[in-house]
Amino acid sequence: MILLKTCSVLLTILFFYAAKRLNKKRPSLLFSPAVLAPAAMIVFLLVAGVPYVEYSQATSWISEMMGVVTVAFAVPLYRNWAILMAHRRMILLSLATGSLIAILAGVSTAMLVGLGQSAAISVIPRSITLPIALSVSEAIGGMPTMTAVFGMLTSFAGVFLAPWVIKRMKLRHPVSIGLMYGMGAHMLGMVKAFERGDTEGSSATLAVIAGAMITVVWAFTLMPLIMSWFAV
Amino acid sequence: MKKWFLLFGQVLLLFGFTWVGKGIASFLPIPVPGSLIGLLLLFICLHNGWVRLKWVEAGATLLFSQMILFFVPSLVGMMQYPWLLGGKGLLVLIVVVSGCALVMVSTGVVAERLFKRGEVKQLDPVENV
Repeated sequence: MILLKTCSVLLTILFFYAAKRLNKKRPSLLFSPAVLAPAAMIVFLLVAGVPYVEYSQATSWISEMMGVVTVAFAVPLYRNWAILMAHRRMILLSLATGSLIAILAGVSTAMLVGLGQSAAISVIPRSITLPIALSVSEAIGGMPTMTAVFGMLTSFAGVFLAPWVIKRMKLRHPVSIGLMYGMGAHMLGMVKAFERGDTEGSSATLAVIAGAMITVVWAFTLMPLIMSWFAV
Repeated sequence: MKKWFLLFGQVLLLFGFTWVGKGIASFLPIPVPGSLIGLLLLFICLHNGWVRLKWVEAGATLLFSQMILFFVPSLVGMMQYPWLLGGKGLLVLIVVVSGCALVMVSTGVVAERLFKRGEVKQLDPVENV
């Protein structure tokens, strides 16, 4: 039992750093550690015949670290506070629209294609950064694992879609490009936004944090409505 | 060596805020994630100067750079849903991509419009002179 625990933790860390090194040589989304490391781990668990529950219990302290990462977001928030206040109207309104559409589009399309109620609830927080999304998902009665999958896919989709959106919608202002990246593709979007410039990057950081807060507010106010919708 | 101790201490401080946040969350009647309360607490402390930025900055940067590692166990959870690889997985992809495109377009367009309007307003007084 102890052997299994240490093995799961060590292998998770090992796969992650191996994937990270590989990604440095071949920088592509498919070779991202967010894809490679879980994939390698899944293959290993299936071959070794270890059920997911045991693995997740053994590695619970790694997941626990996501809470600490969430708290650490206070640092970029504090550093960029002046920019946030200078553009607060634009930031608040665009993020409020974006997160509302994220929730409505997510729930309605999930129900429309018939993924079921629990998947629809899990899709609600997928447009916010994963560490926060997982705890929100738990709080509103979704499945955190489903949310992790939705969130990761959203991040990838966002990075792919972003250049197209910028071109089609003729986005020019660095703050709006940053907000779009942060709201649409959270963490990966933030990295990409920093590649474009500092203003884009910090507004993406703001979008990630403020967008998460606004989504939480929307989620809790809309939950009764969504639940009554399910009942119909 | 000293640098590592410092980083460890900083991460520990962030840990402390997480715990306090979780403690407060357990007393609240609504299910708010404790880590969000911890985030707010740390922000208030930074804003009022109770905690200096340099006390937590390096620790936060370290955590951000290794962040994907902390998601790996949750992502491995995908193995519980083998249907994601089948036709239903395609539906999930449609949900995600369409939703994501809508979110990005709406956020970007609203921000861009509001910014343009703000620019015009700023120009107004100059024209009046």
